[in-house]
Amino acid sequence: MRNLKIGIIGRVLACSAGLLLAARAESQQATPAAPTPAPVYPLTAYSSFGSSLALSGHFADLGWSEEQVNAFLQGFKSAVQGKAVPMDDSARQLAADMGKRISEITASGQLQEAEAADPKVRLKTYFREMGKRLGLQVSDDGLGYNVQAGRNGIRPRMGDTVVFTVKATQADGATTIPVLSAEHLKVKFSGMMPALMEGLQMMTVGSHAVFVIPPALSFGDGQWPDGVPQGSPLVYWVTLEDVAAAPSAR
Amino acid sequence: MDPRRNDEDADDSRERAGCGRRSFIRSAAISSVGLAASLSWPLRLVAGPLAGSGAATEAIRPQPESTRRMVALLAKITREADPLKNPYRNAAAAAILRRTQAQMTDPQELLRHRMKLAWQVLDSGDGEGGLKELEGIQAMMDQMGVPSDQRAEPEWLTYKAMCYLRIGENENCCSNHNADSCLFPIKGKGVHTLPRGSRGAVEVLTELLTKYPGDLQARWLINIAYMTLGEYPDKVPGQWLIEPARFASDYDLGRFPDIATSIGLGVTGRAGGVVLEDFDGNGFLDVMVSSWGVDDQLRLFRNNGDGTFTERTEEAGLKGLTGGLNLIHCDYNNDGLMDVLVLRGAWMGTEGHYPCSLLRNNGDFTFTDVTEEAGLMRFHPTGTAVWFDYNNDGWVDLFIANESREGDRNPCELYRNNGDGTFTEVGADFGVNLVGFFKGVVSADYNNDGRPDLYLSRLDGPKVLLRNDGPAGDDKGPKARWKFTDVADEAGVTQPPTTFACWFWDYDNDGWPDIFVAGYAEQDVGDVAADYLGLPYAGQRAKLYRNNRDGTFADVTKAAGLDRLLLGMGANFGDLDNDGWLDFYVGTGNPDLSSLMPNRMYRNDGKGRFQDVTTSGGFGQLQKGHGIAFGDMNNSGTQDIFSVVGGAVEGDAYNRQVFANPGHGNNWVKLRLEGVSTNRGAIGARVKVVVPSGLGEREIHRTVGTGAHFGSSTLRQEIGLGAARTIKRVEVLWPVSGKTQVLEDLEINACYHVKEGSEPEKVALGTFKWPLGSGFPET
Repeated sequence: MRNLKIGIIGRVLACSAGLLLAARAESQQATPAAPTPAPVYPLTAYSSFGSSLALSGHFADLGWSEEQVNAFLQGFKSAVQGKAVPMDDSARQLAADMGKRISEITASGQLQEAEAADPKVRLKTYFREMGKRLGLQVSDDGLGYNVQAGRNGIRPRMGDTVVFTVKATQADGATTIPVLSAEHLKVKFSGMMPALMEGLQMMTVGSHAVFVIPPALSFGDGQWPDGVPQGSPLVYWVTLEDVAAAPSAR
Repeated sequence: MDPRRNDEDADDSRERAGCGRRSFIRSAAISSVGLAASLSWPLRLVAGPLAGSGAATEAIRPQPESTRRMVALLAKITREADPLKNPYRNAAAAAILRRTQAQMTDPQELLRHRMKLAWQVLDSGDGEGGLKELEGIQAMMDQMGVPSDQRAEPEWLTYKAMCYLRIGENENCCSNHNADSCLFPIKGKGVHTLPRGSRGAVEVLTELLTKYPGDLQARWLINIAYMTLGEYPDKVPGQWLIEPARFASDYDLGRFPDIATSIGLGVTGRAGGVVLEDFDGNGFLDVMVSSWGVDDQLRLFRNNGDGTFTERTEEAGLKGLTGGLNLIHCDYNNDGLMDVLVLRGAWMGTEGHYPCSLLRNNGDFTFTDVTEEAGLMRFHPTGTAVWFDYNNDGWVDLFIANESREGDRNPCELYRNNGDGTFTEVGADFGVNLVGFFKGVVSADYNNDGRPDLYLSRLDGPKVLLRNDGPAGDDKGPKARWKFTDVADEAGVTQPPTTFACWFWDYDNDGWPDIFVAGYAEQDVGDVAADYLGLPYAGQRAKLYRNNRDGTFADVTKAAGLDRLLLGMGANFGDLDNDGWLDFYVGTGNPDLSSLMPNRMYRNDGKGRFQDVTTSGGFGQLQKGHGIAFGDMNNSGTQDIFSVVGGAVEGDAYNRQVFANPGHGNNWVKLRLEGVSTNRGAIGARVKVVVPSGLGEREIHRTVGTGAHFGSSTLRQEIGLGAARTIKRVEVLWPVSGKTQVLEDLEINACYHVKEGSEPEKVALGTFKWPLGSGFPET
């Protein structure tokens, strides 16, 4: 969602910036018009308007030094005072470079917008961000995991009975989903959702883990329980408390 | 009643740690006796080093005052430290715990106290003592009526198995050490002749696996225990067997025998670093090796040029200089002699506030500790640093990456070389005083802009790639403020989350440095079993990043066959078979005594894939692997490997290894570069060797440096040429001038001294064969 917003705003502002630069270039060619008496506004409004122009022109993103900004403002002021600094080759080159740069910024914004609209890309972005936040690794089939060491070497195997506590949250990792959470849950290690089957096998008794689960490894195309955001990644915080071997394994 | 949870300080360090000993006096003493008594080597091999040392007749010069001050300072810090706060001073901690045990009145408190003691006893290497402590704990639990479900049975069974395994290792691999000891998969002379330890371990592990069949750690260990008895795989119960085929090499590289003991280098120690370099300019690579215990002596060995090495520690003025997890070398003062930096304090947490030591080479095989006069007296715990000339002024600078943890902030440091033997710390001013638990730092010019960059590996977060952007302002001089920018995220090299070993190298010979970083997190050694068995595991895998030549890197780990759990600590790279493609060796493990996993060797097949040659080459040492260096120790034209073996805790000392290269028939060239405007050791200089091949010209690229972050290989460039019979040209790019020097008419299988801007000079290197009886194939 954040990227989506940035994309739209970036596109709008970049258009404004293009107009601004074009207008400025034209102004260098034209004879300055006689100044018109301006209505009276508070000075803060002028400051705000100036900032708005700078923002719309992506000036903050152009990487100008303070010296360059001052020179730009000086030229701006001169033009307003009817003493515009003439355009030379370097100024034209600068205008062209800035136009190109702003196009890139616009394109980047559009790309982000496009990315935000594609669920696969959105999921990838989400995993990248959660990966940084939670120190995740990602398995071949897309399960994000971070498992802390446990007490001993015992790992669950198919058919064993496992005891674990799980707190399920929405994709933000904070909003609990009560219907998927349980304490000291004792179940047979088989037939669970694919993510838990894979994740629990990585754990040893006493270990804690966080699993970030893509939709395909939770409920996929099946029935999503009430209270669970359909098609959304889930975050499981799991503690493996015990493993009892299947009778046949003893 | 979780035994591991009763010592939070030790546990915290253990979980974070990765290395290992205090001088394991008992084991070392037994080892010496065993060595003298066995007399299994030809007499001349024993007599050679002794006769050549001159130790009995040569007067030892007094240590310089500055060295004496450092010796005193190190001793003072150790004397005033609290062994209970340092999880690696186990015998001292055990002694304190025994003394204070009498004061305990509350049974619960006493039980917890005894558990702490039990772990310290085992970690000190005393398996018998550990078993006795366990008996006492169990009797106490009986007396207190601790319910069975609160007795942490699997944990204590594992502890008991470890006590037995330790007994077996002490009595066989340490006291009766031979070249096959602990070489995975154990067989031949590696089979224990005194089997009581392994028999006990098998019994306990059988009980454990019968009750808890999902214990993958126990399954791994029982396979090892059966190997030590010579009963693997036949007698391993089928449901627990890990088949031999799982350990098979991808390629038969031929056996590299471990000849360390025969040539005088099989010394015992804990985790430590190594420098393989020619300290006296006679053309033979000498050895400096450390052991990280706070009382462990730094040691220096001279290559006698006849297949033997002589210890020259005291003669070199190094006596009393102790500890040091890692060593890196360079010529910091441009005098043509290789100096050494000793890095101390890593993993020790708040007890790790030791200084580094800068050892200036005096040119007569002696060193002076010049840390203080050089301006390097600082007290942050570290195990990694890199020499690089960030400002291209012709003097190597120093970046030290430190370990910070909650409540103990130790920012990274950048020392600018002032060109007069002193350094100035500029890291804070330049904004590179990063704070984190850093485990590796390496340097290369990854974007080929002429300025060396830095890559940092850390345990606690995303990796850092500091792009060197040059002067930050109008001042372009060497003392200017410099700009470094972390571009790891945009370059795509931040993963995996928890890492240790790392290095820059040009594995694909395209002239653009690539990155390798080893994951360093696991549940326990069961994750290693899972990796071999193809089961899911949580341990963190390695990453190989190929340089895309546009400021970004591609994750090619899977395509390269390296998507494995390597748990690399020490590491380095070189060319095992002189085919011109860089191979690598990883020292593996962590402080836990149960972490018996093989060190791993990989051969670059030249087609983008790496072949595991661990077992075929005889490189699978199960004991903990730390500093590793590649270098041609007998000037035969092929690179040998020195491996510092030994763990973190006091009971985990082990013999160092030297893997002698049997040769593979390929050609080579050696280049000793000497900078003039570039730093004299030529660190950062780029070498391109062009040879003819069936497909036209072939390029082989190298950068002068000591290699990976842990272990210091010779700066002499030892370059394999494959089957090429001629060298078309060699191009050396000198970083300060930015000029490329083209060398023509160089011969194959020869060594050249290449001084910047001068004609190369052919150097006649002395050479020798490894001695008869050393284990090296006799011809």
